Amino acid sequence: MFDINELERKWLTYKIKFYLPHAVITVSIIVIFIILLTTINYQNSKNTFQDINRTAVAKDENNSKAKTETITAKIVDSNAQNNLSENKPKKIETKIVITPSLRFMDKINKSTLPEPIRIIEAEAPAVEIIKEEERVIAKEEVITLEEPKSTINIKRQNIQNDIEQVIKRFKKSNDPSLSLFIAKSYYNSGDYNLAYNYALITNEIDNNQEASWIIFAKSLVKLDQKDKAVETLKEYIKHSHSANAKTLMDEIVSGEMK
Amino acid sequence: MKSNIFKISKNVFLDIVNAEDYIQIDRVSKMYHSFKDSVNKPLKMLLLYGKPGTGKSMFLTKLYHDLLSSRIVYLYQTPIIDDSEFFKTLAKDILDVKYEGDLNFTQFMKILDNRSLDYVPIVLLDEAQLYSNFLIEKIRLLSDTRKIKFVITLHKTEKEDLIAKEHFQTRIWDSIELKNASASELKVYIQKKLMKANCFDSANMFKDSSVKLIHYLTNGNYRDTNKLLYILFDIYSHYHENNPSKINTISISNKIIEMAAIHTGLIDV
Repeated sequence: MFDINELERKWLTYKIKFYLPHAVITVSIIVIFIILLTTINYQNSKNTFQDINRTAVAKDENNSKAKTETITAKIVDSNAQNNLSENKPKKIETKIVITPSLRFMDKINKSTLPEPIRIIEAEAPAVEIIKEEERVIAKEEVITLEEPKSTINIKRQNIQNDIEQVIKRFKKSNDPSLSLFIAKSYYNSGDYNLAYNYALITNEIDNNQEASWIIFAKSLVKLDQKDKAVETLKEYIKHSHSANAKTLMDEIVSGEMK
Repeated sequence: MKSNIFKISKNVFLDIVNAEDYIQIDRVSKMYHSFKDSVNKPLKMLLLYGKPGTGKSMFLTKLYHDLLSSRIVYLYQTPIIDDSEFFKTLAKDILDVKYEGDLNFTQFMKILDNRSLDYVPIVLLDEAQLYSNFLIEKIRLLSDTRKIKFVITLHKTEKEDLIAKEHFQTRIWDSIELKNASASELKVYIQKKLMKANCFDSANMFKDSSVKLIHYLTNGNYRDTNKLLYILFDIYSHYHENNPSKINTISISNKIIEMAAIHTGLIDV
């Protein structure tokens, strides 16, 4: 005979004992699997991070190399330029790299251009800055001046007043950049005699102003004095080696510039 | 299902050696007929061996009953360990001689020589591993005379293998090893046994899965299976009378199989 309750209790104990190792093994496998998965993920993320770092370092190295090369190139360039400048007359001296002035844009936005003269006034500092720049920046000067040119064209009916205002200021300050601006303005408006005069005035104040030589030569061409223009440019090219001056001279000689 | 079906089923698995209850599965049936044929051949000795609970005793009993109609057969299920008693029993049964006092091997051989038998009696000795080596040696000499044929059963253990090798290897002309049942054989055995007792409902309750579990627990041993199923139906009977909602009559519950195994010691808790 048997005690059924006791037998059931024993059976329950047996089942717990039977399934306990299975449960422990299953849980252990799950835990190990999770740990492995986490470790693998961690390793992957670590590797990815390291890869990114390596790439970044490599990029940095490349950049620094590039920079070094650029710097070296610049140094070489500057050395070369120094060498050149040693050979040149002491016309082109300090070389300060500065950004173009955008202050005139602020003024345009603020005052919706009540008077065209204000634009010109805003333009003046940019011209002043350009004065201090090296030849490379002088190219930017052309670009900088061309952008507001369209603005000036819009106000073309007032251009004479504008020029008069600038002339007044020039007479007060004797600033070559203002005289250069006046020369350019007269050249653009077709007053080549006045453009010639103001280019000459600018050149007398500061003969390092390449633009004054260019406007001077261009005005001479317009005044049918091509030979004089070419001679003037040749003279300028001799000591400045200006590429712009060379290009202009070629254009004049070839007849492209009329 | 009738209320007493589990009780009837339980009694089917009582561990009783009865030739009428003998269930032959196909493999054992072939072996049985082969062994039975060997008995009729002029062989000195036959050996039936196997692990405890493989059905040796039942096999021998069945053989005895089958041969009884055609041959002079004597079955000794309980070993006669004393030499004198053994020979006195043989003298009385085979030669119809009642001997007073001790009867040794030499005296028995003289009696046997004096009696001229026109037949060879067959002596079936169960549990022969319990006989002493000395007596086994005398049985071997007796079988050499070809006047008595011995069929003996042995438990197959290392020691018993040694006995078989030392005493019977050159003389036994036929031997059969009985083995535990496979799962499918066990299913046939259980169902045949139940159906023989008209317990068809309980026979149908044994599905493959439950028989597999029983086979796993008993390793196909017939004695262990009988013991387990006896307790199993006892538990069923108990639930049927006291808490019928806890059992279903469609299939044997694994839980109850395990409870029976715990009770019989097949599962150690």
